[in-house]
Amino acid sequence: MVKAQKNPKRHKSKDDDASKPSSSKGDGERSGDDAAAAAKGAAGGGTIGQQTSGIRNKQKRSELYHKLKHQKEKSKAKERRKRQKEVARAEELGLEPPPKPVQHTLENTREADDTMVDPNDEEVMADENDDEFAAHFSNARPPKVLITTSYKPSKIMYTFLSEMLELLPCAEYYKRNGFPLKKIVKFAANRDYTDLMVFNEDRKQINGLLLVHLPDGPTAHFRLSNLKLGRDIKGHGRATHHKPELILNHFDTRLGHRMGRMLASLFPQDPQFRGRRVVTFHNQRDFIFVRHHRYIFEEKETRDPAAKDPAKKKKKAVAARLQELGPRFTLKLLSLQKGTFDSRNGEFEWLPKKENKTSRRRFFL
Amino acid sequence: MGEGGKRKAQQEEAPAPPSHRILTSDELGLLKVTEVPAGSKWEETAAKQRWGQPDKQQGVTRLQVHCPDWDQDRILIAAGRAGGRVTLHCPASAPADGSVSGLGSRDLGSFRAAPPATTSGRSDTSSHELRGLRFAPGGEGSQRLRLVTATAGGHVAVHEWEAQEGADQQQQQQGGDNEDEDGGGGDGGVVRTWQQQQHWREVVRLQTVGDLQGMDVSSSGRYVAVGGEGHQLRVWDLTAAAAAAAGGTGSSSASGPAPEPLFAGKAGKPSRSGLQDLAHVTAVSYVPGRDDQLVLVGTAKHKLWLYDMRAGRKPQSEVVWSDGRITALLPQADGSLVWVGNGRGQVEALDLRQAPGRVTMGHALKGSAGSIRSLSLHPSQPLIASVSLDRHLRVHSTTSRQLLTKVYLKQALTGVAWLPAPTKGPGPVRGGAGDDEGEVDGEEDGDDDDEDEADEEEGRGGRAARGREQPSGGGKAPRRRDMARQQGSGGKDHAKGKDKGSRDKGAKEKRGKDKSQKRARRDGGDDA
Repeated sequence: MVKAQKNPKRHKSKDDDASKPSSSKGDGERSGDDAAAAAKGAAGGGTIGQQTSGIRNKQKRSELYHKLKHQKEKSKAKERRKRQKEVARAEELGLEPPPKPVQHTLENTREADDTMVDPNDEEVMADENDDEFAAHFSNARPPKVLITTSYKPSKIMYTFLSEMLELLPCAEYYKRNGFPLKKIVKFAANRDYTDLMVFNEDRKQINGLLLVHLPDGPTAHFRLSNLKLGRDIKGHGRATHHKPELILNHFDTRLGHRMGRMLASLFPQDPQFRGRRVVTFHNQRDFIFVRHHRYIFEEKETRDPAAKDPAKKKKKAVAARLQELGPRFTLKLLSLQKGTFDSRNGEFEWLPKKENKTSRRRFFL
Repeated sequence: MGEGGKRKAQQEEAPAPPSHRILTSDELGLLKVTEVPAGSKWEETAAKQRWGQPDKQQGVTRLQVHCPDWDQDRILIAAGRAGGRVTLHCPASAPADGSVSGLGSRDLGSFRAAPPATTSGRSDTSSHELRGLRFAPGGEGSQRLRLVTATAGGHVAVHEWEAQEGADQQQQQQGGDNEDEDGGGGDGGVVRTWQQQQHWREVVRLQTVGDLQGMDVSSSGRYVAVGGEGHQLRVWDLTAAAAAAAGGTGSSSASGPAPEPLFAGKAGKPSRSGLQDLAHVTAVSYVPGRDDQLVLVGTAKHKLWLYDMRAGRKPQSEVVWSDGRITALLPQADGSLVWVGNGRGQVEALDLRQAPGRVTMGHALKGSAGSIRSLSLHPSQPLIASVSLDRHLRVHSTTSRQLLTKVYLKQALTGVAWLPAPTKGPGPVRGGAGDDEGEVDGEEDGDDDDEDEADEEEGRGGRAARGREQPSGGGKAPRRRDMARQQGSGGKDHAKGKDKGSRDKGAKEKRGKDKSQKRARRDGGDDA
């Protein structure tokens, strides 16, 4: 199919060079043939760009490109209208509407990962019953987080830290004072902290987070980006002292599971629902989006003037409204180390390797 | 995904035996056997058997396999556990008549590798963790097999396999009557099968360095080299230690002064800025074929030092190799190459052919995302298996450096070894029991004492049947059908694969590998 499609193009370009400038009609005729082949080839040839990229002449290439694009849009519109008609007809007749075609989403097209965790997996459960976070999840060890910074933090870091201290209910801040990180790990472990968070700043940009679980738990190094302080968010609120709820989304693989547990062990296990405060860690494409909201459930009456049944005109629905508190930022995992901090000579559980990045649809968390 | 094909269909009459078998151990104390289907179909490699119950206190820290002559009937597996015990296993072999057999593992007993407790009551056992485990030939020309163990606290002990006279062939087949019987296969160099419970007795014991992290035994079995955090390489002479202990008071060997090391290495050169690394040896390996004089040491500071005991205390060559502590050292049998794995997941080979003059690293094997915990070379083919903290087993070709297969094994893996692949197909009955995940073998635990019954095959079959009556998580239809078949026929020639299911590639073989027998497996490491 691809071959059949290529030939007319080649023929076309050779012709263009050899003969006199052809009329648009001539072009139209030739590209009429192309169209037929192209429509077939679209399925096999990839994107329209990939199909037309062989043509070196920019004008011809762009003509063919727009032609193919136009056809594609026409056929799509036609399909859509057809589908809408079918749905309308099915609704009229009271039958089931025809099934919707499957949309290609990121989750659909993600490269299959054999480390996805099955919720009933006995071995994974046995492992997690006894890992570094088990004490936290069995309520035997309440969280106590020590926050510190890189050397010589600036004012931006201080305002960010004040907001982080509001986000994390069990956190304390200590100045860095030039201590080497391995010593800080030891100090914190001696004073019974459960986690150590070190924020890194470079040229007035906060760009890194090192999360060390103590006493000898894993160390995760993140890149922090897209930071927006709460005070810069329009309509923001101030957090109360209630213990927040936690939402962890899409931590699917084994590594993701472990990261989810690590982030969850920063927060106490007994949220106060009356505070209506929620912290969300949403993982998508290996980026962890951190958000901090206050929510409220409200009943709303919706009017449906088109409804035929007078009883259904006023509908009551419960909707949630959100107010954003605190900072919002994005984290990306750079490495996960098995012991406490030893960035060069430790044993790593996960490192991003070039040879593992086999496609743009391959994610690890 | 590893275990897809197993669930399909049933077995055929004579499934082809797998071309390779690899044994791995992990932090939960499980031993898993991964098989490559016949014809070296690497893309269908899957974990087939799982031995043991998940229990972190019994996590395996070191794994060694002893297989003289690469004979599949004489495999002895020693697993060093976190609590200081060494458990011994062997894969239960298929009996010659091809009937049902327990192709699980057979627990052959265990012994304690840690020093005797000096205080009563609970003490800190973290120093009893096994950090070194090696099979060694017997001392003074005896034929007995020895196992040298080293704990984190520095206690090195040599255990010898005690052979007893008068064990008959019959007992070998039946596996002995009770667990107290000292396994003694025919002594004196005849074919020994490891089918009995074994008794290992401690022969030599010595206290070496504290916080031991690497240990290796020379090929003659005479010297043991250790290194640890805060200690450079030290080599002890085991025969001298044995003589000292024997010639000493004769009472508990803890008496008497600790023997002096034969050789104490010094650190290599300081770095360019004049800083000397703190002593932290993480891996030690004797280079074979050099008359036990050449020792390769890997440090936590990504350096490799080659010591020649005859030439001097400082290392003869030093290689600084990228970042990351050296976690695994594996020499090839001819001593020309040493495969090195580090904490960043890199595996390369150190070329010693022109040592000590010119020592180079090369042959990188790519793909591991986590620290390499263990490496294992196939004895005859150019294959190397590596196991890492990212929970995968990888097999590379040593000649082309290509990644042949990668298997996800769910736990942080700690040890790997090649097993000989069975030469004949296992008997026609292998219930196609499903995969490891859904199984809960609680009911198997109490059966260890019965394992050496005379009719253990039936016993196993019966136990397997009982085991399978409980639907384990995610019981699959084919599996239940198998169970029914298994129970019914008692394992003769059934296998009329009902649902033809996949005749495809390894599927038959998968069954062959007895998932059913996995049910009947013994619990490893139970008698702590």
